[in-house]
Amino acid sequence: MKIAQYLPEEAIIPTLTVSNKLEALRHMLRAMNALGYLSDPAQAEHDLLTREARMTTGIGHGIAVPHARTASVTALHAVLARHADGLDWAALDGRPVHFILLALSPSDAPGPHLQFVASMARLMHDGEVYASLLAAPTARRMHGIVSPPKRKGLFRP
Amino acid sequence: MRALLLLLALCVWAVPACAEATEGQDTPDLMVQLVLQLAIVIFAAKFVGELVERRLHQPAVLGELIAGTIIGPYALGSIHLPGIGPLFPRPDPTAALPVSPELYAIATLASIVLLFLSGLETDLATFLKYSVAGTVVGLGGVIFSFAFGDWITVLLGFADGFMDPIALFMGAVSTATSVGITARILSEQRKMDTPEGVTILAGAVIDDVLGIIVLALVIGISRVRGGGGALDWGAIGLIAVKAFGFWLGSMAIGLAVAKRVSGLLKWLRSRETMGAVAFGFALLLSGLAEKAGLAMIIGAYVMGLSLSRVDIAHELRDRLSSIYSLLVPIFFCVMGMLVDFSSMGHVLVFGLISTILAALAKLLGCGAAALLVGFNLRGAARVGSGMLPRGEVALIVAGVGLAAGAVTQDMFGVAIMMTLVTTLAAPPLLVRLVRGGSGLRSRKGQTAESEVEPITLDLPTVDVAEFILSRILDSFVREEFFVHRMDPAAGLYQVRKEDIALTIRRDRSALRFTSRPEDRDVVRMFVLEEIATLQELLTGLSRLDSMKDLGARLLLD
Repeated sequence: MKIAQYLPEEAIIPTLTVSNKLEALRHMLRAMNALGYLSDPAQAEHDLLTREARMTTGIGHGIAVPHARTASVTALHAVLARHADGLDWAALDGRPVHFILLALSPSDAPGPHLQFVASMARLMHDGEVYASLLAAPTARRMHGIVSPPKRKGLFRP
Repeated sequence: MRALLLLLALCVWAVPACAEATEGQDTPDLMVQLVLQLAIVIFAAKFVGELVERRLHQPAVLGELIAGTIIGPYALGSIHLPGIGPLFPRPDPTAALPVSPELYAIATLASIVLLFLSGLETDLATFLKYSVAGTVVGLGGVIFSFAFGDWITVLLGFADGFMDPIALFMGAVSTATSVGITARILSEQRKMDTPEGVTILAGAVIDDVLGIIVLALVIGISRVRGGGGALDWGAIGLIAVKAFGFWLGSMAIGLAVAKRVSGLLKWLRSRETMGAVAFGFALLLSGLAEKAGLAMIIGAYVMGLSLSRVDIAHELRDRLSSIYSLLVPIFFCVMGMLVDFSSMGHVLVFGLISTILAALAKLLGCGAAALLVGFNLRGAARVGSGMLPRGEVALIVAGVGLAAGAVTQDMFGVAIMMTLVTTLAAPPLLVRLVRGGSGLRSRKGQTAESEVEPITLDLPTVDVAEFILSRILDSFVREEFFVHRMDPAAGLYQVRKEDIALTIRRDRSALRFTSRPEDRDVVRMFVLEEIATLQELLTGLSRLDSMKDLGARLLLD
């Protein structure tokens, strides 16, 4: 799946300076709203927190993937934020979270959602990718890492 | 059961009574005749097929062939009851086919459905892996069978020399393998994906390509010999090159564009439309194959094979399965109708000997080739017997030979007999042989897939597992994955989307997810979400005053 299609450069926040999970989510939602993705930011926050209340989205290895299907978006949109010190996300492995991928998908239209989250998780689980994402100085460089150059080949879709 | 018998009996009487009115042979009358014929063909094929399957525990295809011989123009079909005309009139001797062209056209359409679905069912990766083995097996079969067929005809005094058209023709009839009958059995026995199954299909397809080239050569030679002229090897070579080129070219193009075709099909959204348009593509390639000098069924198979790896393959199979179950029995029944036992009287001994020898030649030729490419004796026996049935291509070859004047009616009878005996003998043999262990000499290649450890989710009860499973499948569908229920009894599902493929099996109260290592994150994410939902469900339920109150309110309103 083409990750880069859903995660443009302007949706990457290289330095998130908040002190807890709720602030992080709100900050990222504001960024999403500024990009014009949200029709109803309050609804989006509500849906996101509902999902978060069920079970933590801290899937371990320093990564959190808060996500929800919500009526506030009309297509899959995502924001990726980096937190240098690491946030407490009550993660499954208890480790602080350095990368937060927030993904929202429309609630009434079928389409990839968990597949996107899983693809991103798989990418960032890779030790090398994780380290270079952590070291990248700018959003542009981070974007370059998550959207590798197109592999050439006759039979590649 | 009794009601069905009654219905059948009623039809046997009522249909010819109606058909009597069709003496005029106008187009509407022809259509009436065709429709009535189809009705009888469907009843007979389905009824006898069901009977053979339930009572004799043999593949339904056998029953369908037998049904054809019973109701065909050479048996019950030609009976002229007082005041009632025959439903399947005896053909006049000059006719190329003993059934009406209209009925034969529907049988041809059915053969395209059959081979298209066989292609879809074949696992492309395995097919490519075994294509070399298949080619070796196919070649072994063709060379052995042709030589034997040619030789025995000369030996028994029916031809003057090895280059005599009759001897060549008998050789050509001996080569062609019916993909259809074997494919049907492999599919019924769920062996389509085994190394033997794929080798047989690859071999049979190669065999058909070669068989048709041989036929073209034989016809070319016999025409020249009949006219007393010299052989035009250039023209014959051109036919061979064209046929082979089309086969290789369409395979390569098919593989290259399969994803685009599937993208186009998915754009259609409605699953029914997808199936219909995919079948349209199959018809298109079938027609092109015939134009290129190959058989239509080869085009259909190539189209199916190309689409077998795309994510909607199962969807297409599901959509077309009802057409399959309707049309394919018609094909086998009509093939049975073509058999005329009475014309074979004086060549019976020759027919029997050549049939047995042709079968042996095929078994030996293909079996030996299979041994060469890594099968053990068991596997070689499976491959050899899978290549036995002659079926549709031999019938096509025989028909073409007869029409081209290359052979006489009695030799045609022998060809038909060979087809019938091998076709009747192969299914029970193959069914017996495919049971049991691996047919490969070493099992190295097979362990690769089973080494992937499945992700297992242990749940407290079967009901909870069922519930979670259905929720997970729903969420896959919601993300536009294609979910296919592979074996309802075993609770086995296949989930596919583009390059992602996984299987889910419910094993009592446990769910097992098997996927490639790189897709495990997708599996984990979907499972995790459902666990989260379950969590919420439990909290929600515990907030209810009590289940008993809920029930009481529901019933005692």
